[in-house]
Amino acid sequence: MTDTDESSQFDEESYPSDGSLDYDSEDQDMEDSQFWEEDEEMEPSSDNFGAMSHSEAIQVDHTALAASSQRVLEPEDLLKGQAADVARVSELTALEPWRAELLLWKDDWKVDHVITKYLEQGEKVLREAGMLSDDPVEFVISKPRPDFMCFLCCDEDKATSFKLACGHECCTECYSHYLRGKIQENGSLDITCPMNCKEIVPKPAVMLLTDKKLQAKYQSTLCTRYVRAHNDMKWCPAPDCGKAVKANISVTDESVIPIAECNCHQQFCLACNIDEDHLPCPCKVAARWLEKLRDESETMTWMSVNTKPCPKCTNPIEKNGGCNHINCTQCGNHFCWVCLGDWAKHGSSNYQCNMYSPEQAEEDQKSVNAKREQLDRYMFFYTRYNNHRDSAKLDEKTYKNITKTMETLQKEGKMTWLESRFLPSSFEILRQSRQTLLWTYAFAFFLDAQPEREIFLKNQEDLELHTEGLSELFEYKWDRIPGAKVNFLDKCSYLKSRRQKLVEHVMKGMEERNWKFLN
Amino acid sequence: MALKRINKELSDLGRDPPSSCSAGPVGQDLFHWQATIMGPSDSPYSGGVFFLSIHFPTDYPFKPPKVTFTTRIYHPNVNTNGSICLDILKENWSPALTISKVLLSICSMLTDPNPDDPLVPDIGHLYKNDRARYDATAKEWTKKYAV
Repeated sequence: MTDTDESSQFDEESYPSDGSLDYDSEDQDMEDSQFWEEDEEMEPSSDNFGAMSHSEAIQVDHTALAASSQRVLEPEDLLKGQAADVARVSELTALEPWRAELLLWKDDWKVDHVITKYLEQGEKVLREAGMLSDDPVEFVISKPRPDFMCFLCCDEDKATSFKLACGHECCTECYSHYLRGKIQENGSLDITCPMNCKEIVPKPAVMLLTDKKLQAKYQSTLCTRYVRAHNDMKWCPAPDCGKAVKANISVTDESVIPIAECNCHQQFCLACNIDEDHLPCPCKVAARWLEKLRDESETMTWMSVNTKPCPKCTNPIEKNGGCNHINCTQCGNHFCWVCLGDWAKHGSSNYQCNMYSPEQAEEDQKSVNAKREQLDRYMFFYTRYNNHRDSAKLDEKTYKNITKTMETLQKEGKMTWLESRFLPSSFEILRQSRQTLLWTYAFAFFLDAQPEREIFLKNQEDLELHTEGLSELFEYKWDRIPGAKVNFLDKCSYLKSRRQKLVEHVMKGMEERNWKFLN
Repeated sequence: MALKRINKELSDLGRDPPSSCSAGPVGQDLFHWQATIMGPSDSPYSGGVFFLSIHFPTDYPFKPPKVTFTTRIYHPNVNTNGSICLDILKENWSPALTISKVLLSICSMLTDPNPDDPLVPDIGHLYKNDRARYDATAKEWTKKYAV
């Protein structure tokens, strides 16, 4: 039943089956208990910056978060993190680790809160967390008692059985079968005794009664919930990445935009659910912009300016010729474009289309103008935002050509591979500048008139101008590249600092709460 | 594995039958039972006899049995196919439950419907807003289909 194959990725955590839960073997984890806070003293992990570390390469700020403010967590790290918290609570409350773990689950891994609560309220907390007895428990598969009948399969002739502190004993086959079903339904530390008595089946019991595959599934459910319980942690949104990122700074502080970067290079915001680098837009502004994009109302504005509804079937109609006689192709209605009246009347004696009502006309015009202005403004920002998105997509093609160019340069003896390493680094700068630029348009759209806005627009203009300049350099044929290397490096270091300036300017305004946004 | 358990439940039912319910296999197949519930006296179903069909899954008791009304009944949590919306038959199933307990739960559901989570929203609405009309219709259906 218990498979202790050493290749299991979760094996570090496997529990001894003799019931003597000894966490001493995990001393190292305990020393690591603050393992992610130590990052500042650590060097940025080499795989984060490895591609750029050569002296020829240009340093790229991958993220808004300094390398010391975030940490990418592999599944093993998440398990270690849990074990460290468990060990800490266990040490300070003198509870067995499995009890400490259940308490932590109950209160969303708020370590200090759990400790205080237990010290203040004692047993009551244990009962609430699904531990119905304080007696020492051994998690062991044993021989059933003499008059045993498994209450699940009703078999009396079983070699082994299992029970928790609640004493509800059933055969190990049934217990395992029961746990299998629960784990497959994403159950974790909320699985109760099969008798439904509120006693939680703790981790050591699950480990004892399940196979390696189920243990892995169980552990991964635990990790998912563990990440969810921490608002400073988030799963990398890239498909099949399976890593999480933890911020070492407060993510609830609105003047910080915690853009993280996973080892797989996926960027995402730790504070909101936008899965890309949305600097310099604060989360709220970025969310408003995305909502605006989704909002059909912009299309509706266009329609209200350029179309009229058919008076009969209300389908929107755009006039495509000079004649005012409109024939709705949807319902076959004939009407007048000007007064929307029945066209039949326009040939007869009661033709009234020429009867001008000045008040009505003025009102109509005003509302059309206002709507058109709004639409124009939106279109202005949207076009530019979208243009950078499109350009970024096209740049992907450029990126594919870079390797080819580098190979050609090497083959022709113009530049060694290392000498041409500035090309991919420059491309990264270009990509990043575009990413920032596109969000500057979202930011500017909501920005109310204020003196600081002029500075922002100036920064934006400068960044855009030089981004396009760098983009153009990438259009050079390979034989011009060696001569343009200085230009590349100049543009890149300029863009890097300009982007930094722009972001800093916005962030400073956020910190001082200076920015005024349109409603 | 399931067979032994089903047999045990059958003999327990014979030894200690719950009031106003009965259940047993339809033919040779122990995985297919038929059950009856007498309409509770403090409900509009009083006087009716309701038939239900019970299918045990092969991995019973780890998965819940499939229980449906074969007699038509006017109830917010039972639709025209006889499907029953009851938590213990779905997400709150526990292997510690038995057919006897399930039938008792259905009995108490007849006395106390759960109109806030209705399978038939119209009946749920009527139950909440016009109890008299609900009672009358339920009585009428009982008379028509279950007597």
